Amino acid sequence: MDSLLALLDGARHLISQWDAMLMAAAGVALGLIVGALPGLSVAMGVAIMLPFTYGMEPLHGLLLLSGIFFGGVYGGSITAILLRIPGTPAAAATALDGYAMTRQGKAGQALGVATVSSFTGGVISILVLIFLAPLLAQFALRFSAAESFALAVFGLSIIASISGGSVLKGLVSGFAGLLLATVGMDPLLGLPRFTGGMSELYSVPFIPIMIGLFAAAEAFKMLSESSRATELKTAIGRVLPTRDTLRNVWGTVLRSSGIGTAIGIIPGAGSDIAAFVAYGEAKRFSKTPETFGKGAVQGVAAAEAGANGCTGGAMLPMLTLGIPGDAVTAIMLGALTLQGIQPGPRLFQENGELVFSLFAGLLLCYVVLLVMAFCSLRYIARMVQVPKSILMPLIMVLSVAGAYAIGNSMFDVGIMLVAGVIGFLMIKAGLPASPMVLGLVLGPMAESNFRRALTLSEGSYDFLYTRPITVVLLTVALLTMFAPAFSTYRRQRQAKRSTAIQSGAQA
Amino acid sequence: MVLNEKKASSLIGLLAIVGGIAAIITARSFPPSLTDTDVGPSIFPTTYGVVLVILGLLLVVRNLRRPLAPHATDKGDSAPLDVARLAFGIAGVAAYLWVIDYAGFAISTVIYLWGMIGLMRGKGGFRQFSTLALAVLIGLAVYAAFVLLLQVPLPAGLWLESAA
Repeated sequence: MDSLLALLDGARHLISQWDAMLMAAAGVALGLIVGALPGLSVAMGVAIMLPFTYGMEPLHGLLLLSGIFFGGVYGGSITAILLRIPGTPAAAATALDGYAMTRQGKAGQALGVATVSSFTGGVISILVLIFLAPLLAQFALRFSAAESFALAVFGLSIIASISGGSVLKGLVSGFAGLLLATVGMDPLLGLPRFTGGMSELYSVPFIPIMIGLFAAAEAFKMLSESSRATELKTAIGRVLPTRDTLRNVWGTVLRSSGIGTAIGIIPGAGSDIAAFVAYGEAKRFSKTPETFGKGAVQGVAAAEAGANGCTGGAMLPMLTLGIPGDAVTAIMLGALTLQGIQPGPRLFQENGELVFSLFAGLLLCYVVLLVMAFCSLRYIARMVQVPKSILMPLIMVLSVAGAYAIGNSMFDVGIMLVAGVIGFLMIKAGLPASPMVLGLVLGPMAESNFRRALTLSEGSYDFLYTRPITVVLLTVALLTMFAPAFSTYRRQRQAKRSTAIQSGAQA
Repeated sequence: MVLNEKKASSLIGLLAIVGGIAAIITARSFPPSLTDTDVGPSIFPTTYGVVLVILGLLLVVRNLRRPLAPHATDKGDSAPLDVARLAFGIAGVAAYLWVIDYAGFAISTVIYLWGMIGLMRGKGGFRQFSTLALAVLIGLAVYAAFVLLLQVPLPAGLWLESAA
């Protein structure tokens, strides 16, 4: 009830600021384009636009970035359905049935269902965020330095699960981020570390590194790719879904939205995982699972509701605990700190009005997305065919301007360029950038809280095993860290066993 | 010369080893803790450095033992890259940053955009009128977005400053 009243207050505050609502709409529009453009990730869109928020009011800036986040996750489905080119990793699940529908001449129906499902998934996840966030923040208020350290370790433990194909590469990326995070002032003594006497390095240049890793690196990658754009050859047709279609998919949409929200809350599990899990569950629940992959409208609905259900879920640990769930929320965390706002349990006490205005704005973002998508789908589908010969230099120019704008310093631009080259090498080597971001964000939190907890316990390490929340968090962290290795071991053992059974049967 | 996934991976491994060792050596010069209850400023960087060296070694050794796979199974971009083209791209940005100091953001951005769009369009790209038109339009739009709309100052350049 308190949350509802606070939300109404927040909505009232938001309505009084028309320019903040305009920012939300602008963010959604940009996100739709970024998400739909193959090769541009949502993280990259948010990183590029981050410096633009520097001179803005916190609410305006956060709504712009949230709009890009939501619009981007949905936008990926447009090219996935029309061209079988997923604009985002999550849209790969949408492409399975979406493109099949396009080939059957049902492109409009697929796009319409994707839009309605994205909207429903997103709104449900935001509602869960609104009602769950204050409770979680209230609980997290009990945390002292020991629990905060354990929380940071838990956040870092997901590195293994976001490492993609190779855990080793993910760990290299994560530890490089942790080491980079030690550049600057020592959190307890205030002494400079690894600064080489340069005052610009007294704090880690987090945002130029983000822009370099996600935007400049992608621009360098485009240099090596063909600049030909795929041609749209299909007619879209009626986009607004019929009542029959909606009746056919509503159960799948609601279930997938719940799955997406729950997965989004788990740090490390992003919208791509949510989309595929929701798709798998929809197939399992379906009376006609054989139609999946051949143009099943429930497949499109499940993937989109799952992916967008993730958005509100991912913002929950970021806002209440200060733990980013993925690269996008890590960059948004950077945006909050850039505005002088510390995410975490105290956020609700110190900036309650801002938080609930933001929540109202997040709901508005999804309403804008629904309207904008239905009105502009046809144009976006054509707009995304921008050649890379224009995109690449444009991304680079925006990266340079963005990195400079943060501190009016060419030093930051240089850092961005170096990060861009390293980020490009990482792309070529198959090293994911997200673990590095996680290390950069959570490294200082882990170190400062560990040393503070040690000082509070007068040099004794017993805070690691005598405080119940710390013990639970550290145990979960250990389990999360070794879960991917354990599942790989089990898979290999099962494969060996089945090979042995087969060879035995042949003998 | 081409840079494939295996070479890039080994290069990253070597960078991790060098970075880790540099961190360990530098951290040794950090002052010790002032109290008995703190581990001091060097313990975390040293630990990360040691782990990074080990991980870097593992990455290099694993690559040495692995045959070259043109279609690697991990998420790496396995398509080989023309290093000369990348070097040109980086040199282009470096030159752009150098020119910004003198000519300012607006002029140098238009020049950079014209060069890069022309280069990426391939043969005859520089001579197309649309290349120059796009460079001017995009350059001015970015400048206007930052300076006029968001009121974020961008470098005016030494030439303009000295003229003023």
